[in-house]
Amino acid sequence: MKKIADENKSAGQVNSPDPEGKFSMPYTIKNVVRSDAQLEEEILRLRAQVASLTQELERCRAELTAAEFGTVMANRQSALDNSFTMVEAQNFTLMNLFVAATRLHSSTERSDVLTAIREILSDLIGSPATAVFEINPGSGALCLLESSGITPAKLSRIPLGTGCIGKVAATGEAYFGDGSDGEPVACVPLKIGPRVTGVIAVFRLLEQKLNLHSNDHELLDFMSTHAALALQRTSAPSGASAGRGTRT
Amino acid sequence: MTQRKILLVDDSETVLMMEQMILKKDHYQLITAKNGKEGVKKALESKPDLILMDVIMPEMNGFEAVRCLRQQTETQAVPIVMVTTKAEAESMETGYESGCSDYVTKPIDSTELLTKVRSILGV
Repeated sequence: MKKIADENKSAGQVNSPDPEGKFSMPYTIKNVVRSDAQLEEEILRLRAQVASLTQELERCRAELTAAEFGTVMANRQSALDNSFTMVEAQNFTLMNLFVAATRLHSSTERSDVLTAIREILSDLIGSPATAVFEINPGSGALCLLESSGITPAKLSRIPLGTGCIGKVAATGEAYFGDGSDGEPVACVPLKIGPRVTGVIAVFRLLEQKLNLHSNDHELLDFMSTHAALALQRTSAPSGASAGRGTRT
Repeated sequence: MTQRKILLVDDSETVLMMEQMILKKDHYQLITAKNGKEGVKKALESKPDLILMDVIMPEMNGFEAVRCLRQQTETQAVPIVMVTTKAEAESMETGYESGCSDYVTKPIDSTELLTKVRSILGV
């Protein structure tokens, strides 16, 4: 056996795991035993491969971080956009309230207060048909103070509790509807504390305005007190008819 | 950079105040007029970069004022934006014929107004 091995050795062959020679390629020393130089070379090649793969891994990690960062930033941007829109909306509401307050409280004449109310309803809320009523304590009815875009004769006097406008005056509760059947879109009591002094009615909105928005509700709520105060401050001693005006 | 000048023409003090509140944000120099006639006068005096013009006004309405401004050398190229209700918008053909550049509808939306003004002024 040793002899065969020696013979193989001399022929450049070693003990083969395939002694019966089933495999076509002979196992030679060249294939199995490598020189130190070859091993060095192999190590260097593998090290280079490791370095390259490490670099690739780092690049992938960086890409992933960037992607995650991008997602985080996109989410943050979206949140900021939403906050900005909300702040803009609040800002717009505050602007409306500021303009309304300035217009109502800088007027010294009752007719100016009524003009201011009409302008606020038409230019800030967008209604071409409005009316302002005041309760006449003597008659227990609402008297029309100012109107725009409606036939004033039909609404010159409304008993408390009658119809939508009369009910708002009687209960002190605001009414909001869709404007069908001739009912107003909004009916807001004029109140000083708990006392109802009159009613503001919005009969319809401009064509392009389909419904009242949240800032309109805020404005109407604000008007409920501030228009009432402005009207009381400028009320004429001679009676409610002092500032009466209509625009059709 | 020179401050852009905008002339606001409207008979409603509420609208003028609202427009001023909105445009003040962009630091424009704002001039106001209460009717078309005063608007034409102030436009010729101040030579604004842009005019916001209401349609229905006493003395001289918005369309008449625009026609008048277009006939003047000093103001014939000034962009004019009509501020109008939808019903009036249906007659915007009259507005464009009279020489207006664009229009915004009432009630004024702050974002729409600012966007339009910035776009026209190239800000």
